[in-house]
Amino acid sequence: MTAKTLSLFVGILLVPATASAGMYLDIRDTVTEEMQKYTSELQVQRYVKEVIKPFGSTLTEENVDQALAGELGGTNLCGTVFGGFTFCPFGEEVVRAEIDRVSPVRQLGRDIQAAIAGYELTADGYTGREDTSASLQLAGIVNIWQSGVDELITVHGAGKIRTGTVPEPDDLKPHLNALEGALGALVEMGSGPYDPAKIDRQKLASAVWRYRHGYKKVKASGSCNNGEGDGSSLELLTVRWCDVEDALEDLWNELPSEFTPPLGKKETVIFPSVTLEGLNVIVWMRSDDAGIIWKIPTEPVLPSLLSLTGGVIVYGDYPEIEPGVRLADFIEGGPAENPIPTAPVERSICSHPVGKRGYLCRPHMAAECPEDPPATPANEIRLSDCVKENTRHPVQLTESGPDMCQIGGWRLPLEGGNFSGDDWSAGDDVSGQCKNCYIELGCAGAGSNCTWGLTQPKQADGKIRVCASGDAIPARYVLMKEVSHAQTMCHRNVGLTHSTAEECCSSYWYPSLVACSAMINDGVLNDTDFSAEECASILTDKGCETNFGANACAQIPLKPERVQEFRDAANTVGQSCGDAVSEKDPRIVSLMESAPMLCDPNCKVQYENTIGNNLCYISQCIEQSTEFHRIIPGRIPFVTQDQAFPWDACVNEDPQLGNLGEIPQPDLNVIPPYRGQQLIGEFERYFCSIAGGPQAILPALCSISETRSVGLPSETALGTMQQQSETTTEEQRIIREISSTIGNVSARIATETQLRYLDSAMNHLASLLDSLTEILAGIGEVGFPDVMCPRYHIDGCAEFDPVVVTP
Amino acid sequence: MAAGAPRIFRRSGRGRVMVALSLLVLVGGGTAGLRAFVIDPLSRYPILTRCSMEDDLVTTDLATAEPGMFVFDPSVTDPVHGTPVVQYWSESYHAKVDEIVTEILTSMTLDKSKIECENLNPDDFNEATPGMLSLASKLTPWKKASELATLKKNDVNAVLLEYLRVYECVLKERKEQLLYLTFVDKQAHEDATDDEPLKWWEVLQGETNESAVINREIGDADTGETGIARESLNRTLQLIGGMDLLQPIRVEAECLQRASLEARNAIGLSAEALSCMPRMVNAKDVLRDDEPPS
Repeated sequence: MTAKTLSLFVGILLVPATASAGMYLDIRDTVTEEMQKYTSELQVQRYVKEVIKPFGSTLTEENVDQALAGELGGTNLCGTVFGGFTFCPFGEEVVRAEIDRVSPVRQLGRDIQAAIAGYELTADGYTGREDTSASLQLAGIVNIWQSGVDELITVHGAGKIRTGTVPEPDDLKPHLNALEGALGALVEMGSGPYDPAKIDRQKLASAVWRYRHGYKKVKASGSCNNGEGDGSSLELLTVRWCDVEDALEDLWNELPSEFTPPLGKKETVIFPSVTLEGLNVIVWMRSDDAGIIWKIPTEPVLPSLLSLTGGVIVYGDYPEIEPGVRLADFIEGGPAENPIPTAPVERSICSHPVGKRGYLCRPHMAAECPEDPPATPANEIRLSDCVKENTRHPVQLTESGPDMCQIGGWRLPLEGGNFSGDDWSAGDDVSGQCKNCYIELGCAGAGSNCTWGLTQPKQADGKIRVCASGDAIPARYVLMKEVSHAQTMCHRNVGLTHSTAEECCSSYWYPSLVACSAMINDGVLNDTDFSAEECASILTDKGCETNFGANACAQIPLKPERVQEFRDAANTVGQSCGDAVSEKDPRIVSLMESAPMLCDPNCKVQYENTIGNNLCYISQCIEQSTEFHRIIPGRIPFVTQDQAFPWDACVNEDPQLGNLGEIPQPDLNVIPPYRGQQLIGEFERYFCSIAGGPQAILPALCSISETRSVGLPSETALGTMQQQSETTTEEQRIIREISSTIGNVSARIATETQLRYLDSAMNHLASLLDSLTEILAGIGEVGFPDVMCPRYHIDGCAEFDPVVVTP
Repeated sequence: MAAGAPRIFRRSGRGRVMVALSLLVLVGGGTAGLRAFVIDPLSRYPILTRCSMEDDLVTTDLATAEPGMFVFDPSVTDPVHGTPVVQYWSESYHAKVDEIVTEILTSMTLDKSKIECENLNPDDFNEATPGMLSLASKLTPWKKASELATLKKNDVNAVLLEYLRVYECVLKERKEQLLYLTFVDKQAHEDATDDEPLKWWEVLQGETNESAVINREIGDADTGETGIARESLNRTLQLIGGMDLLQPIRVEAECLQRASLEARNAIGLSAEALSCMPRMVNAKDVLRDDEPPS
């Protein structure tokens, strides 16, 4: 099963929750009805009334429960319809048998719901779970750490998350009351003499599941059918509830629509959610949508027994309504029905700003994967696969190491530029301190070298010309890639090109990833299975093809038909290259903004205050300092010659020299596969072993042999005979014990699986933090002199001794 | 220091770096104990007790009875003419379980004000709830104060399952001795009240009344009260059993978030300081002194 399919499955089964007084009692009441000793679910009751027509008569809902309790004998029905008291037990048995057919399915559905919810409630990524989940917290941490570069090359498309408040919460109350009323109207109460009253929540469950991803997507799908389904057993998954939709829309319209500072691209504001305690429902509100989820997910959407319009839905060999007579009008349910199309994940679980950061919503690519992974067994559910990147040398190295943040995009546009009245793109400021180059965008005809984009070498005046044609993939993405690529050339010497394939490939990898992430985030590749990494490997290879030949960057040669498929899929955005140049995408503007130099008294820079952006600034400052000048006293500088200063000899020993930081490999954290079928198979084999059969036997055929007893042998002949006679009972007992045990065993397996993942994930996180701590501690231990290097050096080296700083 | 030379680094900035670093170390080192949150009840609670009504949870004094106990007070209840005893017990059991489950669900909302990242102890967020402690103190595995002191919120499964076992045993024993117990209870009721002397047929009537309840509502493990109680608890534990598994991560995520803010401030300060540092490429920029110090 693919991750996408699974996410739908989980989405259907999971519901929302928080602390709810009486949740256990609700479960107890439901279980009591499911176990049908003397009472049954309202839906089951109504269904049985429709399919059992004893001798042409009609049962009442009350008769169904009376039959269960063995009290049918006291009714008129028994005397008149069932032909007298003698036949009452027969009538009761017919009712019980029918309930037995449908009730276990509903019980199983709720058991699965409970099992899944228990594990995923705090990690499902739904909006509205702020109080019980760490997801939003983790997203907040990402916001604090993430640099603009990370945003550009991250595929999740989540954008930033901001928490907001409603200025006048009282304005929401009427709409919340209307919503509560609309939802409450979907709860049906039984009309019989029940104690307590029977409650049917199937319509409420339908509505909660329907709008868990927001009302807007549902509303946009067409006119509202207002509770009128298609009559199938799955109609509760697709039916709409207009009052609920309207209330949600009114609620959303009441939310603030303007924010300070203004929302960035794909940025989302999450408002405090509201819990409707009586309904076990949480109402969530975002700047882009509003919806509802369960507070405690106890009720799934179960296959209907009666359609919303009253039709009887039968499954398999449905019973006779009386001897020889079957229902004339029925709807066939179960496997005969057409399945509901799988909703795209980006419209379902991955539409939530927190959830879309999860593993179900993005591919798991790694530089290295476990070798020879075992083939996926049939029916195994793999939540995540390790896919090896297909590009050589993805990291670009310069003389002093990797070019930090050099692909750009981490700075904010600077009003007025660094110089008053300066149009930096005109190139008149190249001699200034803030600019080593400027980028000129251009277009070329189809079939030119610009088909996949081209960056020309830096010219003497600092101009770097990039071009696109728009005939391979949309020009805006080609330009995005080339602008990013041009920046890696900005600080290089005039006329230099890539001298080796490795250099070219590493220079193009991240720029390609920027373009591909943008394509995916814009939905250009929505209907394809291209990941950002595969897309980037194609663009990288194409970027170096002119100079180094095809497949210069690919570890596994690209298939031409796959490249063509990529072109066909991507080339759906109707925008000419000229338009892409004249109406620049904001991301291109942001990328170009990162070209000017920084760390000079005359150069202004503006960026969002995140750890990543600050580190980009620091590292680029250091790189600009070291790469444009000499770092070894008395030696030839890298870029320009400079005079030797008399205080060179005063340079102290670098305490970090040779102290290499070890960065843990974070991408081997693969989610363990889930092999549900295998687990069930093992249980069945265990059952066969108890029965004395070989493991190879078909488990379904296993049963306790009458020639053996599971219990200890009896000492007497009478006891042995009794044991023999109870063999069938013994089998039932064992089946029941296995049945009651399997939930506990499954819980342990699930816990162990979760721990295997979390152990690994948390260890990676801990290792990463340890490394970070080490690096930051190293920075903190650097001793700085308290004085600048003077032009005239007359006092020896003592004044340069590092200051001992006491924290 | 040469007179007039500009300072290039603020000492206070470095102090903030160290605060952030110490928090990061704490967070990094604190993630190893996740597995400790998974309890193996068998290794901790090996006490096996007999299946009997002779339990602290069974009492005949309504005045001193606590919620969740199985009460038969002969001065109040007529076992023959009144509501069957087991019906009271059923209501008492389910109400108590519901109370504890509600407590557990309520405690899922993390009180962030209690998190002290410098002295982080995951057990601080795993404290048993009052209802749990009250019930557990009457259950055999936790009767010793030393055992009760080790009880954590994550032990709720063990506590509720032990409570269920006691409940099942109480029902089973009463079912097996129903005729005798009806006689004894009726006798006690007479002694405690001014009721008419016991008549033999009344014993049968009471036994019949309660037996009907037991057989219909208590029944067997497939469909009766015992089956319903066990299945209800199983489903409930499935729901709440895994909910708190990620709580250590939530606690540490909070600390990581706080540390991240500190680190952002410290690194921002470093970036600010760095902007004033001379670049090697600008070795003769305006920040340097152009005259020998006097």
